[in-house]
Amino acid sequence: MFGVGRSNERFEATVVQHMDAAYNLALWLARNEWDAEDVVQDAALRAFRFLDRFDGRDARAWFLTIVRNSFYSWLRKRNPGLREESLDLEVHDVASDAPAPDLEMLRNLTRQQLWDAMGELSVEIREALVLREFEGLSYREIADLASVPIGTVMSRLSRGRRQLQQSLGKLHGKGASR
Amino acid sequence: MTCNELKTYMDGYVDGELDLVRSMEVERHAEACDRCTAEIRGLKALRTSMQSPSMRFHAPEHLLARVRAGEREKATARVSWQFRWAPLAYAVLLLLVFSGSLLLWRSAAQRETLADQVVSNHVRSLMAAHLYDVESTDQHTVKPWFHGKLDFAPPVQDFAAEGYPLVGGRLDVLDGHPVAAIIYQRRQHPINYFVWPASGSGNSRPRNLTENGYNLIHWKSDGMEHWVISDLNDNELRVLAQLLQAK
Repeated sequence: MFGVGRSNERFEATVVQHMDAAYNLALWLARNEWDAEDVVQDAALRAFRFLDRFDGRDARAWFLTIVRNSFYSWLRKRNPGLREESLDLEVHDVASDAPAPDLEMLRNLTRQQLWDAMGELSVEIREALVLREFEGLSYREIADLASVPIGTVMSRLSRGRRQLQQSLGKLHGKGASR
Repeated sequence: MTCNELKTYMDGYVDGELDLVRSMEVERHAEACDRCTAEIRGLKALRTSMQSPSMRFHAPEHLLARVRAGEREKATARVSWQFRWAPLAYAVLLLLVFSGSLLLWRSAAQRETLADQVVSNHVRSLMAAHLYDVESTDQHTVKPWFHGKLDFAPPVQDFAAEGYPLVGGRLDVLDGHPVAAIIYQRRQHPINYFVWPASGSGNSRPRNLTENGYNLIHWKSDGMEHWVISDLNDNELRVLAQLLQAK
């Protein structure tokens, strides 16, 4: 339509272009399709409303930030008493008596196995892992997107990967009932 | 570098975020340490698997349609003040057509505009969690809720036994009339069923449309206009339409 041509183009470039990334993030965070769609829909609306605030640089990061914020808004609405995860860096030290990594299992990892294991992690850690492994964002980019210090990102990734390996080993590793 | 120190740098190393000096120290330690080598291998294996494209989910088509519909609606609303003259121009255009085709054309245009409104209402109801004003699976709660809000009694039935549970009700507007929106759900798909008193007599057989990725079915019977809309597939939506028609 005349007059909205340009904003339509921008919407396509920022939102529609990154729908897969947006939905993927929302789904791994929200853990069900219905909620993930709501989150993405809400994010798309906000993106449209704030389109003129987008500086034109990294459209994917810009939109994913909105998706992620929409997710947390949605989460807080559902759990009004929700508190941000506390960072007990000492408590979650690497267990030196943890079993050696099951390379075969890790190399043949299925999405379902990953899904099950990710379900045992906190949302903040899942968020860091999705942004790192699925979107290939750097520590700096993840820190900016999630508005946390880089050290927090590093800690979440580190803990997340340990916990994932533990969960996977427990659920699907050698000796585990399949 | 000790094994414990390596463990704190391992992620940074594997992520390519560790400075060169420390990276070399990690490698030097790992060369002489089987345990740490195994840890690094495990981490790399996990990452490689997670980075496989098969791990990612793709946005379903209907979500893309919803998002586009929402955007178009907002865009249209934004510039609607510019286009107030449009309906007038449209009417003038109609007057230039001969009466026989004019009548046929006008009724077709009306139906098309109504379908657009149905889609807009559906999309709007999905946003901002405004699917229902009254939330209940009990038809004996939803039906009386409309009393006093509408000057007609909408037919409210629950089809949970058939797999289409009633979810709630809502007031809406179509074609300038207040209408009842009765919401059903089929698996993950919300379905809006709009019903209001028809103008003019006679019934019409159900007709299917697709707009913006949504499936619509509409018919006229018992003096009412009936429209169902959902992103649910055509076959399953038709089942609901049939359930609604059989009274």
